[in-house]
Amino acid sequence: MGIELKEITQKYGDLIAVNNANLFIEDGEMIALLGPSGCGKTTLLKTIAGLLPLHQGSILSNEKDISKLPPQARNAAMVFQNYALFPHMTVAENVAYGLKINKCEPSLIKKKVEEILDKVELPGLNQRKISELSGGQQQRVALARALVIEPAMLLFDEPLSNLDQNLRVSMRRMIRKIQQEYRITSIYVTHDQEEAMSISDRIVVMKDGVIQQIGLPGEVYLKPRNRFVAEFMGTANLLELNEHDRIIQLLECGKWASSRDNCPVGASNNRQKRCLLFRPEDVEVGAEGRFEGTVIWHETIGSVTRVTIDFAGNEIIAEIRNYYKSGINCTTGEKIRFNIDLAGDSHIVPN
Amino acid sequence: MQSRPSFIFKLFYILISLTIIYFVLLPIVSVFVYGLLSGSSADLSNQILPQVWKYMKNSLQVALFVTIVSTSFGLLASITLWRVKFWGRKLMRVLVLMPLISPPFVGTVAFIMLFGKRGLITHSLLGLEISPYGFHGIVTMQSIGLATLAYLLISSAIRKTDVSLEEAARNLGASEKKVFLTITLPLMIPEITVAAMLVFLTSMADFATPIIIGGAYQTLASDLYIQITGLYNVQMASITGIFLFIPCFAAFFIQRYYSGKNLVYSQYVTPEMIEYRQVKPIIKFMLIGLSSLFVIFVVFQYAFIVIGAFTEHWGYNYAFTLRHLENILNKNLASFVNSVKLAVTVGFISSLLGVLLAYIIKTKDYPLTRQLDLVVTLPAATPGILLGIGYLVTFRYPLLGIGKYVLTGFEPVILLGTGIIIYLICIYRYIYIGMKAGYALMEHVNPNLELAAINLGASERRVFFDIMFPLLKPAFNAAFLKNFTSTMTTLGAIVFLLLPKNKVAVQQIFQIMTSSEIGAAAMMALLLSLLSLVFLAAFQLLLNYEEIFKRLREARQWVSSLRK
Repeated sequence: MGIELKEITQKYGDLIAVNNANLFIEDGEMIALLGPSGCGKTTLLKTIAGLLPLHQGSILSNEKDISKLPPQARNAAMVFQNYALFPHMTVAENVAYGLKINKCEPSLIKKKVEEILDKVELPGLNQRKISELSGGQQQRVALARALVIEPAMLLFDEPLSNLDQNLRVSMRRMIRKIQQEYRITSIYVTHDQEEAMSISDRIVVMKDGVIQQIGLPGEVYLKPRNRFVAEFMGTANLLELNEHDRIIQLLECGKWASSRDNCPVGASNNRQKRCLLFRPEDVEVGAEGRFEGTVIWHETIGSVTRVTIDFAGNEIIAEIRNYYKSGINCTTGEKIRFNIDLAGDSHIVPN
Repeated sequence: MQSRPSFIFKLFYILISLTIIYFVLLPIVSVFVYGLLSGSSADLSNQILPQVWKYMKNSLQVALFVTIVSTSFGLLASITLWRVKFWGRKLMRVLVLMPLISPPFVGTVAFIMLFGKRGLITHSLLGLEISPYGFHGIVTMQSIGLATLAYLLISSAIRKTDVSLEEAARNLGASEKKVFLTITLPLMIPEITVAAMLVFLTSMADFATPIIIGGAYQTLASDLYIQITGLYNVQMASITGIFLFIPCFAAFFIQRYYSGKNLVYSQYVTPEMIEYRQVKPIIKFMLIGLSSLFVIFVVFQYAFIVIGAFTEHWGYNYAFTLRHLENILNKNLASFVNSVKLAVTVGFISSLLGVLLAYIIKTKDYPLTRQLDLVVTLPAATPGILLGIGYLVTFRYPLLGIGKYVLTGFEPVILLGTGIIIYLICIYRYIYIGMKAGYALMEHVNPNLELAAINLGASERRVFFDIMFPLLKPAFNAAFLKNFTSTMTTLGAIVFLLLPKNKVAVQQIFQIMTSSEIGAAAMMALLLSLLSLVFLAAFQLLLNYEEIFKRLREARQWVSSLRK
């Protein structure tokens, strides 16, 4: 089921939580709403679910306006951040709740509940109380409860934020697998860039109630529309561009020259301040590098080592693979040489 | 270094345990011993039991009826005042709490003024000669008074309901009615059963209302009062007391056992205000209508108390007068002073002991804490008047009571007939309030705080005074305010133990009521309510002075920033 949001504005009193949001979600697509807390992503989600009254705009589902429908009639199952499992019911009763409400037959309910609990890898826990479950198990019950009613769309409100890192990774794989298997149109709210990239077909980045960019995960990462998106999507090295800046001159005699199309000098005719973006993996540390900087800090996180380099008063973060075998010396205070690989796509973003 | 403070806590624990056994358990046991052992069993089965059984039936009838009505009203008002949006809601939330600070028979005074033999409505307006006395009168008065209690507890439940649970149910397709019946209501069951239990206990223990407006219809509690004051038949009173104790005790512990087993709690509390958006207008209208009616009843009580307090002779002469006020200021001022003295002392000592006990039970690994907790909580299940009888039969013997069982050559110390006994009974009766407040607070105190302080080298005593004491202060404050108001309006526990020299205001009102001096009773009730209010406000200021100073400082900064 395709969903279209048209010019949606939501307010809490005078505070604008969502400002003129437009979005089309394809049938069977998984969209991630990504942004820092308070950016309006949960408000938007709850508006789609009908749990918040719509202030302005309209929501279309298969070209039918559902803005006026009560939450009960939207068939949009939600997985809540705190799971919102009913503490006075067992696991099976929680999962069966939506079916019972919709007057499903008891024998069918039993069958469906067992099937779905198998699906989320929770067999045999039917009679457990909610308080006896771990966080990960509670999360799976919440997922099962939403899936079992065969909803037209699934809405996830930061479902994994209360779990530890390892559990998060396995849970998001399960959610993605099930979502693809059932081909349910889904919206996934998160503040975790990694989670958004790994789980969704497309990402919607939000800030202060305004949609900043909509795109494929790779697009949003490689071609951020502005500085905010660039910094929110992973680690970004951003150098402010200025005609008279020494950095540009430095860059111009480096590899920069090889990709003339992106020449910052030409682009800077525009009055707006701009930044040059490159990711840590674009920085190649090595003795033959064209630029020289001073190591401020370094930390090894398993496979990669992150080095913070002072480069003409700017901090640049570089990634070194296989640091222990590379023979590179990253001791704080040492000089280090590096290249910046800008051969790729557009690297200039508005400030 | 560590052992000395530890010893102090241990000593305190032993002392408080012994005195609690002495002043709580012993009197209750004494009632049983006295009632069952000091008469012939033939009397018991032939004469006493049929009579007690009659009162038992009356008591249960009244209590069950009142429990159902009050709890329903409490639930209804909670839903209306916290979930339905309408004009005047906030004012109603305040008004509905008014009965909490007033002596228990304010409603009864107003009731007689309106519906009594010379009542404004029944006699003057309708010209009727009907009598409001009996079952209906008792049930009406108790229901209105206790609905406030039920409201207080149930509204706290509805306010802390996890909204996302309701959203989840809605999201899964449940209608508003279904959401309420399958989610909201089941989640409030613990508070609803507590409210019902407390209403039941209070109704069972209430002897004043039946005495004043019961007429021929008396209950166990009121019969017990008559046995002592009218007939001075202590054995009969003790047996009545046993019969009063059994259903109260059962109700208390069944509720406790049940809710302990089925305790469900929401992990996440959403403080945000929510309203039912899709209530049918007819239901909304009914909810608001019934709640308004309830609030109007409450307000009318006070309105008529005020009017009655300044009326020459209600029912006969409606001229304005200051006579009642002058009378009280001349004659009964001492009883007000005594009330305040008692309430402040009890509030302070009882709350302090309770919170300290909670701290020791929760943090120290001392033996028999569970048993002690049970004994401390016993007064919660015991009608005050029963505990009063217990003190009466126990402490009229020397050596603080156990002299009856021990031969002694010492000079006898008899507590009964001293001024201190009413302080003791109130203090020990209310320790559980401070203890529960302490427990509730300790749940929210990070247990690592203590360990952190010990880890930094603090002694056990320092840990208590530097870390735990400041953290436990809110529990003390809450218990203090609660115990102060309870003691100001208590009567049952102390009515047999008071002396002419330390009479308290509530007892005076009760006596004036029984002799039907409406104007004087109304004036006293009005003054006592005002006094409670003034003191509560003063204590609020005193206990929260830091917060208030902070606010004042902020306000001053704000003003000075405006000038610039």
